[in-house]
Amino acid sequence: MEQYKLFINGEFVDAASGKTFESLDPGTELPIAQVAQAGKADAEAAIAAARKAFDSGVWSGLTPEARMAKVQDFADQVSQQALRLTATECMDSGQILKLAGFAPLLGMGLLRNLALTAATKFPWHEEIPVSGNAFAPAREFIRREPIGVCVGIIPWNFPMTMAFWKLGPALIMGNTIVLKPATVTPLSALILAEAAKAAGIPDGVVNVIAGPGGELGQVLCTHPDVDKIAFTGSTEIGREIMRMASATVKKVTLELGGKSANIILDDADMDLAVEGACFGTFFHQGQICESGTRVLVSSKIYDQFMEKMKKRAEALRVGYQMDPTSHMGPLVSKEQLATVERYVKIGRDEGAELITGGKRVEVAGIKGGYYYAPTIFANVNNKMRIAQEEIFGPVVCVIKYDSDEEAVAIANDSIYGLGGGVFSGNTARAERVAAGVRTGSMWINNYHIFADFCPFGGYKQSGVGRELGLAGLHEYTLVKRVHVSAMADARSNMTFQLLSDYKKVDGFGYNCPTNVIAGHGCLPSISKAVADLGCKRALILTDPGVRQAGLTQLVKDALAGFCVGIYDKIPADPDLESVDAATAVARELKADCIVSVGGGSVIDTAKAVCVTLKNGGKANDHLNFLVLTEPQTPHIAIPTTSGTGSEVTNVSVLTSKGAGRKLFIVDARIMPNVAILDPRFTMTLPKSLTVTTAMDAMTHAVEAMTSIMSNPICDGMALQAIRMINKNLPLVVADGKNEKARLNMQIAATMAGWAFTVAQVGLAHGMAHTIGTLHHVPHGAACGILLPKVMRYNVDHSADKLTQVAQAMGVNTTGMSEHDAALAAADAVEALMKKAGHPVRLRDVGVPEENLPICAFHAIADTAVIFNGRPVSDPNEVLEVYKQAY
Amino acid sequence: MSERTIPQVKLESGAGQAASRFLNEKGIGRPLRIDLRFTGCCDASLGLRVDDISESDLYIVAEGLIFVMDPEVYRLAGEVTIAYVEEEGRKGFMLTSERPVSEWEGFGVSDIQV
Repeated sequence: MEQYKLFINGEFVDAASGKTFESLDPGTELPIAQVAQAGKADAEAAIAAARKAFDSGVWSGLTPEARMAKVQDFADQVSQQALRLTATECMDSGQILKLAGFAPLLGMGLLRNLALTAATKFPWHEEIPVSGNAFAPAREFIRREPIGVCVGIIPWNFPMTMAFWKLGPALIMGNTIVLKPATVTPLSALILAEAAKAAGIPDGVVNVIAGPGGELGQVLCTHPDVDKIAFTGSTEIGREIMRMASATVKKVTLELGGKSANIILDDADMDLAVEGACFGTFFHQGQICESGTRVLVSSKIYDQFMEKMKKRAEALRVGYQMDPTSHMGPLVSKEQLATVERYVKIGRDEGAELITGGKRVEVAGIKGGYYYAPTIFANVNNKMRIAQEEIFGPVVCVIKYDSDEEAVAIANDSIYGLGGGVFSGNTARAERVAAGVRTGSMWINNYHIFADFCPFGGYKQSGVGRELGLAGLHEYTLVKRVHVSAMADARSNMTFQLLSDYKKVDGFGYNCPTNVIAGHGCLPSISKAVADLGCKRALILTDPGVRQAGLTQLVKDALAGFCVGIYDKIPADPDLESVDAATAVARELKADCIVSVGGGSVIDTAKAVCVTLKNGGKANDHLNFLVLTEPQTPHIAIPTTSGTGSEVTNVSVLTSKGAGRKLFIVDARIMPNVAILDPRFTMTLPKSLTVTTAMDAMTHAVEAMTSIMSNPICDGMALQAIRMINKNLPLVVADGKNEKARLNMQIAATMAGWAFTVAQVGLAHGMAHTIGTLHHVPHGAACGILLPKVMRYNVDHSADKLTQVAQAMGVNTTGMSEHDAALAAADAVEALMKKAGHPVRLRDVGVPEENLPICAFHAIADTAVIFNGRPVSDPNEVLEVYKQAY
Repeated sequence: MSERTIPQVKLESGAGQAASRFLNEKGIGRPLRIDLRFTGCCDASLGLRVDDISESDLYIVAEGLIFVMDPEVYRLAGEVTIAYVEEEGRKGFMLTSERPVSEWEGFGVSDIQV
């Protein structure tokens, strides 16, 4: 009789206890091999060897390509042993010869397929292009690493295949493994160990120990040096393994029981359905977890189906598994046979109708063996024990149903969800039914098909995790995320400052790629701009007022053949719905370029349209910070006001009714590609709007200076913008037709936009956003009224910067303290506002005094407030500023 | 001892009380069947189920409880020991037998099925 030893640390050894056991041929009940019986000491030795091998890096440290080469050698050694493996598997497990012959072939294929996938397609390293955290710029990437020491516990129904399923992925992904085959079928796993050794897989990487699960299970599932357990077996044992593993938080994948429903629809090809139902149940004597052991048959074809299925089942030949004419071999053990017989008795007692089978089979020329006839129960009620509990033998329950919905409900009325089938002549219908069943695999017009790249696993109490496919490979890795901070500097780290009194962010990145074309008569550059962007179909977005002023026609004429339409319904305070409406028009016209002609509302809407057009869905899907990874639909902005700066900024401000406040899209990729500053477009801007939009620009510039994100480049932009506004606003107010002054105001607004898009704004904007949302105060007017008050609020934290603002405003600060010079800056801004006729009090723009407290609570939650030069955390302080402005 | 008697069902300390407690809480006064069953994919196990005694069953009374067994199950498994396990995260009955019905005997616990 053949002798098999345990395989531990690269050597075949006797059990520490010296114990052995016999493995029987279930077809004859005769022993075919003597096997060393592992005990606790052997399990510990195997785990120790696997741990040492893993930690040494001799296997885990190899590249996936190097491991693939070794796994290919392993597959070659399996090929050398193929005949021996087939014969041994057949005799040891009772698989018919034809079936056992497939196992080495499929196993070699699995090793090669998954090794190649791991070496060429698996995302071992994955860059994360956008992190989703706007406050911590960094390179982010993922490393996937082997888990460590894996335990594979496999059942007796497909010993060799299950060994491949556990050994293969574990090794391929860089792990080491201790494999415990079932005690009744240990031989093929031990032959695979020989193949692994012959292939030169390093010592300790593969270990195979055969022994009783009751004794070995405790060690294997609780040892602290084991990192992962992959178990295929009963739900009761799987539950216990999961519990044991939880003490040391091991990773666990479980493939457990099933009571799968094979649904025969009324339009099924009858012969195919009968074959499928029989194969789904009686293949390998029904000893398969995902067998279709509940066959659900439409009442319309029930009688015809039952007649054919009975005849087909009775034609199956039950015989010795090595007899090539046998369709079914023996059950694996006498215990298995006894359990099947027990359930058949239960079925009879429950009132199910035994159509055929229900008895042992004597095989001619064989004395003994655990043979059982294919058995069909009809008129089964799904609540019966034989319909709910897995029998694991050649016993099928046939259940009648009336509608597809009823079939799905019956299929789902089970604690299991492992497999299932649908037989139908209508693929669409079959897929609908398949979609309704809560189970891990559904076969349509087939059954029991497995494939290396297709994941397998259960829903509900059929298991946890997946085997095979990329999903299966992932189960053998861990994910490590690595963050490489863009700034290795404490004073550039916004989050470190939560524990610091230093509130400025020193480091910065300046990225403002908009191509600005400015000057008298620069509008005709638009056609070249469109051509340079590679576009052909430009849609103009604008508002009714701008269109009525004739400005849109100028643009349409300048675009000539590029213009495919004009959408003029952008409201003054755009919301998500107005973006969606404009996007719908753009989609209909197949626009590949957006030209915005208007103020901040129009340009911000256009930015959101470009994102939604490019990425699909609705505006609400894209309210994100720094997530775009590619260029958006091209955008050319032509501002008709001199305030927003939106023509060069990275933000789109939109009102969300759902959120009850303004929300933003923030991303460098929404900065318009081109901004055309032609003063003709602001010449007809009414005085009141000229003044309030100018104060919007002024607020951008001043807040960029005092922001915690301020930096020298943005300070330069901001200060020049302040000088230009201070000088040119009075000129424009005096003479709206002063084109040079108008152009300078546009340039100032653009420069202020560049300044704040990098340096951010602050409390004045947070407060202005709030009264804009709650009381519809125009943004520029709100900013202007609040700016001087906020400057005074910030004075002790931004005195140096405000002093520069004062100087830019023309204040002679010689001899002044910084504090006084800073206050003078606020005074100068107020003086400019009064001179220009800008409202200076909130009451003058319709804000009710009694609402100021609620405004303060909302304002403090505005994102802009985070960047204010003076930390803001007390709503009472904000209320005080509102009151000063009231 | 009648020919229908199970020669022995050994109740470890606490097992009888746990079973009685379960039956009392459910208001059940029926026998407990020691049964062979599957809980999915490979490996049968022994478990307890509330059931009625049938003509062919073997039975025994232990600690005031009636235990029944199908004679085929008894022939397969032999004498049965019932323990009750109550520890952190694990509570239930563990059945082991003179002739183990699977290699996992003694590993898992289960509830009484009603």
